[in-house]
Amino acid sequence: MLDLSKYITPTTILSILGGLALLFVIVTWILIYHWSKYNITKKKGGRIKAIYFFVSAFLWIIIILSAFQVISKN
Amino acid sequence: MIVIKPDERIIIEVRPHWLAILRNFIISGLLVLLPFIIITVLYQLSFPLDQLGLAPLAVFLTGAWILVVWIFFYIAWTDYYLDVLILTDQRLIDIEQKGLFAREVSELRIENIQDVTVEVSGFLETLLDFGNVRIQTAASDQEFLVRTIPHPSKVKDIILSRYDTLNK
Repeated sequence: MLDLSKYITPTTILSILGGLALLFVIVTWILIYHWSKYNITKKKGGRIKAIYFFVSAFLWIIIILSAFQVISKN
Repeated sequence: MIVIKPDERIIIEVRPHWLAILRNFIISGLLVLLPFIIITVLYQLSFPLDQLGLAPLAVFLTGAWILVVWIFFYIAWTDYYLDVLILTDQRLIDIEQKGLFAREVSELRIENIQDVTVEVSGFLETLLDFGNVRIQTAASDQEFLVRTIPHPSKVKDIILSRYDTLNK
């Protein structure tokens, strides 16, 4: 059977988590900048932007909780 | 950056038809399903992740994957959302977002419009009533092309009626 335990170290998980956080922060910042600067009529899209943050927050909770579980098992 | 003047009134604001974002929506949906398909296949191949203690890792990687797909879907949505044609009582503004770091903004005074053409070609375009609108300006070589907008004939009528009002 494939032994993944030597690859799944806390360092690996934290590196993935860090990379993901960096990607999320940079892209979200760029998106917010675009939504506020280039949407000249500023009328629509509020609900869709709210969904972005709501779903992202939900995913982050799942990711962080499962990361803790993986790290505590190793 | 274009700013709507305080004395300027927006008559219509047209974004591309929802079908323009549908392809990205379907691709993102399939990519979100991918880890679930892989997990199902692994179970079918007698590789029970929970019995091997790999369930939290599977949840972690699935969550990370869905977050990445989610981010890229929103980049595509922003590209779609920021494409807009705005007709004010003074001018026509066409903004075409090309990815996150390129955009084309064209502006035209309504008095300079010479010709407005509607192009609806294809089964879906006819059924769902969307297509392109070409706006020819007084300068012979300059042309506005606004792609995949809903109800292009209605948009053409509104533009021409505004032109008529200003040129009376």
